[in-house]
Amino acid sequence: MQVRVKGLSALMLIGVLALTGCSSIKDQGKEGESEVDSISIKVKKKVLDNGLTVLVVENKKLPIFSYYTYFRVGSKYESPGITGSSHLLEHMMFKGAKKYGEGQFDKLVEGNGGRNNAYTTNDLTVYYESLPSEHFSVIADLEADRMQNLLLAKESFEKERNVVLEERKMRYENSDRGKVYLEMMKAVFKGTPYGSSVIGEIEDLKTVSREEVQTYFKRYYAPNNAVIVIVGSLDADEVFSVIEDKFKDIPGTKDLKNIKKKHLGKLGFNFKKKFSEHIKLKGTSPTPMFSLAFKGIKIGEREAFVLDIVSSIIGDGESSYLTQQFVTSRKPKLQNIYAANYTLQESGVFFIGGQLLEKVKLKSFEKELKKKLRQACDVAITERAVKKVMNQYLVSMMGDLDTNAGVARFIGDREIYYGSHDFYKKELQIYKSITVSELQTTCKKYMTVDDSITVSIWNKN
Amino acid sequence: MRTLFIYLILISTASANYLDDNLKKMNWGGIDVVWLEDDSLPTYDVTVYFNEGALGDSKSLHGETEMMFSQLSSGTHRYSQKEIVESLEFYGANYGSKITHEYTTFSVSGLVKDFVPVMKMVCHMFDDATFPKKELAKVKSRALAGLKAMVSNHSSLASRAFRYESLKGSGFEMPTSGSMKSIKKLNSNHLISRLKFFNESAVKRIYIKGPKEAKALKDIILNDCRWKQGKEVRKIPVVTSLPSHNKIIFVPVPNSNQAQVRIGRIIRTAEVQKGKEELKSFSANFLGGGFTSRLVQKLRVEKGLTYSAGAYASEQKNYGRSGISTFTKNETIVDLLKSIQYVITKSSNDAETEPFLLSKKNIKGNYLLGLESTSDFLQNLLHFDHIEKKYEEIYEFSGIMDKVTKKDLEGMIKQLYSWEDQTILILGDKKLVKTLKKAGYKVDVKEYKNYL
Repeated sequence: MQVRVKGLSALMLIGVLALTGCSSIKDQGKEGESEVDSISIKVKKKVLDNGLTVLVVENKKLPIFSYYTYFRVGSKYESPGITGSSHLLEHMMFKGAKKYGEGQFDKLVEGNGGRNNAYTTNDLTVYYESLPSEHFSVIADLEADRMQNLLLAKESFEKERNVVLEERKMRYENSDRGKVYLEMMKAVFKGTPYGSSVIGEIEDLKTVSREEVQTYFKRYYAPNNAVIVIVGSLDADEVFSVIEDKFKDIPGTKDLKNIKKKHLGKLGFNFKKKFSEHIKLKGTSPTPMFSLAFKGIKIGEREAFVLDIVSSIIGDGESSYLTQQFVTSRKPKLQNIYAANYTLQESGVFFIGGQLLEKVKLKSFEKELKKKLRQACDVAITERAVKKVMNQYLVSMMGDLDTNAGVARFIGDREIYYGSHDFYKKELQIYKSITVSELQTTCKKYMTVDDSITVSIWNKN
Repeated sequence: MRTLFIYLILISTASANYLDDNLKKMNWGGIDVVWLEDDSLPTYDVTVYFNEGALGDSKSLHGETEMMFSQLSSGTHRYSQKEIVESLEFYGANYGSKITHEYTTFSVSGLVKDFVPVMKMVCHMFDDATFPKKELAKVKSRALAGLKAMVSNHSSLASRAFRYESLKGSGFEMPTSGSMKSIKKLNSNHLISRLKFFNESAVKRIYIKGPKEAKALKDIILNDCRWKQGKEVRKIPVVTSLPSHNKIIFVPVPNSNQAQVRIGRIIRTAEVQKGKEELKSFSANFLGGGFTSRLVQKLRVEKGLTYSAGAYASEQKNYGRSGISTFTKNETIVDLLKSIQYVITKSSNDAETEPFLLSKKNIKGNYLLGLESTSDFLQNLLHFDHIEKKYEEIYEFSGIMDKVTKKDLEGMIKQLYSWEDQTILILGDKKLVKTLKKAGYKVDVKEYKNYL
């Protein structure tokens, strides 16, 4: 399981990659930005009659490929009693289907020299494999089999329940950092579909039935709720032909749009109240670890792009404002500090986290942090700081696009979150249009210390 | 397209002179340079290799090398820490060091358009770092706090304690980051002196991936870094024996509802020198290298005891480490230990044909996928140079694997993972001591603070 932090938009800036064989790069020049604009990924797209979206990028660099399947289902579609079902299904999807029985999925992927894994978030679940190109057809067959006929065998379901409980302990119960994150998300999104944990509540994980999970699977794991992205040394027309052959007879879920709307509409995504609490947790850390959370905004909104830049300026890197104020300053207060803008499909949270040094009192630090944050929007956001963030995003993005898997994630994320795999072209315009003044205004609007939630943990709470 | 050639060579036994054609070898002022020209992205990667690692830390100053490299950016006569990091981060440059006991690397990557100012600043740091006392005091304070806070990160703490115990007496047991005791002793003069050694006495090699523009590095290295090619070759300890642990080492930590388990041993110098690096990696892959590996199948799929289990076997020039890393809930610790022992015994006596063939195909494919990024490919070459292996052997991995028999595999598992040779360390709730003793295990309880 994995969560996305800092929103999709932060990963994507200025321009887009160069894929040998499918794009070209002009001389970068000193400024770089405009030259990078001309780079584009050649994506071929097809939507089958049953609603399945397929994106293909040919990259003949190496005879290998990556295959990503995005299901538009995550923990926000779960109800009390079945929390954690999306993530539990993430595990069960490797436990066999009708044609390829128990244990076959991993055997065929790894036995053909490949790798596979998956992750679940509040909004979606993603499954992926990378293999030599000659095995593409087998992978498509495996994916079609489990989309249509997942086994959910009783014995392996019970074993996997225990595995997930152990995973939960590892990530949250035995990790002070994990506990803080979990409590922060619950407090921020209380009363909304984002208010439960992605991995699920312990009681639900112990009691959710195989039948309940089966019903959930049948509703949401359908072709009209999925996007497949394939990048690698394959012929796009052949890929479409194979995918059509394997998936065309799998029926979509009827009235899916309304089902989803109805589910999400029950609770809605509005923040339920003014934020003003300090949640104190008992942990094992010898000094307090904290998180300070503000109401954020959903992905795709202009302000979400703006807040990405704000979070990078104030809390990303050694030269960031908060690190310079509290970690590398003359009298340091913290071991570390960071800021993140986590934008989800329906809402978001902007937060700051860190850990205190010995002999620093949490109460007085909290007061000082809030004082500095009140000044931050005016002091930290400058033309140079914005340019710095742009350069950092570009380097980060280029690094992501060095592999087929990276390209698949890049275009898949945009298709899912913005409805278009080439949304980066518009993103570029948005980023370029953001001014220092707009950054400062938006920073002040969202980073309101009087409307925030603090979560802290240490061994003396 | 050049990486396609790599693959073609890997999957066939073709003897095309790929490396001769695509890798440029140069010498800049006595320093060997390996250049992989790659214009697929407007980015560069530069890695400088030094034949000196944490083994060269002064007596009782463990962590000296790591601290020196991490604090290169803490200030020079001309620039403050703030000015240096602001400048490097402005260009989006990524930079950092990796310290092993035997060698050190310092890597820089970023956009080609900003290559010159970034590399000039990096060279300036090497040439003029002063390690200001005030900055060092802050860093030491953070490092000490970080070590104390490790009690809330059970996995990291277990791995750290395991290093001390499984490598005890070998000369390699101290973490490269040092201990609380040694970090407290470090001062600016120690770091200045250590940097001088790296600049003047250590043997260096430079590895570059990037387009032609990155060749501007030559002048920067010669004029700004002003490195001298060193000649000193440090004597590396020869490991001849294993630490004798006839009891499970148990490390109690507060508020733990999960037991961290580490099992493994040091690979002795003679074993390293016998070669068979590929077979050792294969034995680890077979036991715990993926979802179909024997340990994951037994511990997770069959018994639901854990979320993850992994095995490893890796080497430097004079020593290596092999082992298993996993965890389980308190109630199932004994079942987990017995299951691991069963898997090792079974695999060393009869590895079974189907999983043997599957794992062989898997490691061959993964070797290829691991070379997809040209930066990773270059890191492989660096490792080959360090262990004095010819680059051409990168072509031979697939062929070597084809020749491995089931008997070879069983023999290597027996050699590396035999239960009686292993150091076993468990970190968790103190109540587990009773459980382990009741199950017949001898247990030696040690305080976690001993390892900080």
